[in-house]
Amino acid sequence: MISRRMDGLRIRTLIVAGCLGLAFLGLSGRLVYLQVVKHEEYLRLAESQHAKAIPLTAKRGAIMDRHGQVLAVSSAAETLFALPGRVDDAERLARRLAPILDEPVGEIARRLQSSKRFVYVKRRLPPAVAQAVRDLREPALGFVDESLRLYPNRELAAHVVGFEGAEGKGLGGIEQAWEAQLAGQEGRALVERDALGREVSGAPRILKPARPGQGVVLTIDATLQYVAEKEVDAAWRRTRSKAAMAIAMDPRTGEVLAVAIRPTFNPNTFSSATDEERRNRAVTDPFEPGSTFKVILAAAALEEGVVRPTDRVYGEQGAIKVASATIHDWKKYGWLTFAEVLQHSSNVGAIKVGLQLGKERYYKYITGFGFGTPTGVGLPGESRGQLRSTQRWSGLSLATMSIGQEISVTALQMVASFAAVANNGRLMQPQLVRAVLDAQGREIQGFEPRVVRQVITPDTARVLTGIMTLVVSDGTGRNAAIAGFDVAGKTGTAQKLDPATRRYSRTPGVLSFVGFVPADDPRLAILVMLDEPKNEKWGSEAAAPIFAAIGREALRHLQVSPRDSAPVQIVRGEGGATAEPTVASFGAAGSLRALVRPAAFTPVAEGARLMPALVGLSLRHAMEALAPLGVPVEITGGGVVVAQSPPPGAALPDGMPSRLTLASPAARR
Amino acid sequence: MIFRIDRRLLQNVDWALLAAAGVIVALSVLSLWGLAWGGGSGIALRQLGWVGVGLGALVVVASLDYRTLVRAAPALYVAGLGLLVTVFILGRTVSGARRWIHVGPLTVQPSELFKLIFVLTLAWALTSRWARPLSRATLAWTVGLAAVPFLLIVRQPDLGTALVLLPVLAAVLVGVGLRLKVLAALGLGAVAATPLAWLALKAYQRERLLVYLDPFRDPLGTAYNVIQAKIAIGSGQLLGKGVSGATQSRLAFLPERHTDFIFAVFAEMWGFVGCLVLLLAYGLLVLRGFEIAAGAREPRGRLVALGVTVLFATQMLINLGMVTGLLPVVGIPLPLMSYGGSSMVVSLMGLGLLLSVRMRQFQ
Repeated sequence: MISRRMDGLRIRTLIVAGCLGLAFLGLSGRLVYLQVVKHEEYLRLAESQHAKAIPLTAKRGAIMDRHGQVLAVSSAAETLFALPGRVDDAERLARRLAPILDEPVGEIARRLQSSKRFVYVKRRLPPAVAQAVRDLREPALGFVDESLRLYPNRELAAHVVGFEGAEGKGLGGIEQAWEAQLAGQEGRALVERDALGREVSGAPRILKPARPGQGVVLTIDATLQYVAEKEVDAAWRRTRSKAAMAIAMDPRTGEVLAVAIRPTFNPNTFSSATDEERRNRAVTDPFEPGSTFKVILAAAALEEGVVRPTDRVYGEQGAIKVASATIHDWKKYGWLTFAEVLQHSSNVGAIKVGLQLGKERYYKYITGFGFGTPTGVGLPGESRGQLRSTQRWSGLSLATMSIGQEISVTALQMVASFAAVANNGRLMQPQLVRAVLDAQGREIQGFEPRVVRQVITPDTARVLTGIMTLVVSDGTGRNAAIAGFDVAGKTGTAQKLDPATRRYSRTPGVLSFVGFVPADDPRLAILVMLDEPKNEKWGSEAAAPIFAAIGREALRHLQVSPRDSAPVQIVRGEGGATAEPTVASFGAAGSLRALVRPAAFTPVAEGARLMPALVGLSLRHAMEALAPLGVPVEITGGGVVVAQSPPPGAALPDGMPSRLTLASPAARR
Repeated sequence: MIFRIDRRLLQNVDWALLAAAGVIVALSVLSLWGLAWGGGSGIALRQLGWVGVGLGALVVVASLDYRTLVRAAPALYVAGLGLLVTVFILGRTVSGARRWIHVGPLTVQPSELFKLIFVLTLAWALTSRWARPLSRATLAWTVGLAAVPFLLIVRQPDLGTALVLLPVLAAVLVGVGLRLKVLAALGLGAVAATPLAWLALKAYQRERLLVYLDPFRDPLGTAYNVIQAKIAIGSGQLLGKGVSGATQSRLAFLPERHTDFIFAVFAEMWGFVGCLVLLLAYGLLVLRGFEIAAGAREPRGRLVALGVTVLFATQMLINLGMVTGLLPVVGIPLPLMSYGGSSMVVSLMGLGLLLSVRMRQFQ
């Protein structure tokens, strides 16, 4: 009886427990709903209440030449922000800031009065300015780290390197093309405030640190680049050309070693440069090649067996009629061998060979050498040039294209096609980037030379090279000769088609020389081009000597032995060690004179490179002083140099890195 | 000697119950410490002090025979009512309510203490010799005994604490063997009285109920608590934001975060996983309470255990329901978690009562 009753009460207890159990389940369900199902919404609400997320700029990766010399590097800079909610008197604060930031009071006040919770007052302040602002001890102001892009070599290879725009994005050149690798990944930080709107801590809290960008190693050789720029700059000024350029390429690999272009710009102050100055004409501006293109015709004709070098062609006494037009030579030639046609650059001879070759076969080799398609070197805005398909050729086209007219090519396409002749007929993929490095400087991606196609047989290439050697030794390209080396090449002169009259204008157009050296074992293919020179008319007189000057210095830099001689050792200093000549040893010239700051620069003694005194200089000036020495530099901190190693005046052995410690000016006290 | 503790009694201590309570108390101190992180830990230390006082009270209560306490219920009831009345005379008014009286440096909340007296009184009224068998008169007498303190507490006004008493009354009536039909009639009566209750409610209490039905009715006023609590809990996600990341709690967005809304703090810091641990501890505690009630050999022990367990469970569920936005905001603390001396000591004393029943169930 009792036990039965107790059992009934047990069940009643279970009923009560069951009711509470259900409530328990309901509660757990509620928590799942709030914390698992809807958590994103509540996270967002929480963040919007207490924090303002601000982006943290990633340190952009460096751009280096093939030997690791820095062409573009990012250093720390501070960006000033304000929390308008905490500004009580915007006018007063603006008046305090204006003289330090060098900006109008009204403009600053407008920003401080923004209805936003967070505003940038001024981005990327130099350390001294940031310190001055910090000394104001204004609670409404704060700093976030951003980076400042420096181009320590200023104009050097500016068109290849490109520049970083105001928003931290690469604009032009490698900076733009390799944006994804260089940029790194933006981080995120929070500026927090509590329920009363008070900022909780002075420093933004880092949610996700920024991931630094990767470094890009170019195929450019800074020394060769410097040589090319020096010569191009001088020629551009002397001839008062509209533009001038030189490209050097290693024909064995397709690696671009130098791209010198005038007019140029300083990427540190890119905003004051015009588009004319910033444009990388070597890939964006196609031009009519003129006589240099006869090498392409010759390659096709020799490969197809249309002519042999010794076959004779009648020069028609300097004029030939094709499809109601008459094309002239500058001289009245009689019988010429095919080699002599190239040597003297006879238009009549070239046209006759071209007509015999026929348009289909000629077209096949033009495209074979890479014309009509972008080279894919990986620079923004690359042009494909202009090449019409054979169906759209007129009766005159085959003749004019035989002498390099009615077709336009980029300088890079041109030098690549000559490099193919130099490289036993194999066209290599033009290449500007050697490797990508991670933030610690380890290689994470390397780029091997790539063969595009075999355009002509090695035999044809050898025969053609022989003819091109004659052009220099005993033809129009005599001024391109380099003592001790066999040079193969071809001059070019092209009138420009006047867009108004649709006729070739009388004023000089494009003067060029394209060639390679040494002819038997080519190490360099170089193009030199002057656009609309005012002073000189003939390619052989203007472009060829520039080729020779660049080639001479470049061969010495690459330590290529001259013909019939023991290898030359460049002996420098008492140790007798072989050292690569540094940029500085060529002496500064032209606009690059500013490369060395006299105050910072200890002159390079013969035989050894000495460490300059750098303490007290900004990073930018320190890098400028070190750049010509080609010394690897390790940088710690940001601001101005407070310590250096090795000490000023010490000799710099090859490859030994110098260390610079930087700090904001206040920390020096 | 009533304080002499029998060896046999010690063998029957419910260690699982104590362990569950220990976990909850530890989490409470951790949350309070986390709230004060970087700015001193005074409040967590004070809570620890109250835990010490409460443990002393727990030991004292557990060592007393609950039957003695039930016999003493009439005296305790009268003393308790006296304290509740004193609140109206000596009480300090905090945010519109007189709930506390000052004893030296301390403030005591008599309504907290009265919860346990309430349970003992019900057990006494329903199990006394003259009350058996259950008659209508007994029922009316019991409901009347419950109504007096209920009304006094409502008048303070402390609606939350008063409402907690109703489920306790219902559970004890179920436990004593009241026919469910009668209980249902009582329940219907209560529902019928709701419109009258509405008239009796103060304006702010009505507003709270309306806000419960529509939290965004007044986002910066009364609903602010609910919204902020939901944001804190929801943004805790699965694994929580940790002590340093618990911005909603630490940056003072969450009101009443030390006391009634401490669960939101905990949920933001430790996430759903942490909440599950806490709920399991509460679940275990309540389950042990029912085990003790079911295991009691005689009605007084069963009713006391049932009453204390339901009191505990109801407070917890109402508090969590309110913090998670399922129930209207009625200010009651989360037992063993919320900061506050009265609540902590009384909760631990309640556990002492459970232990007292458990230890003597085989006598």
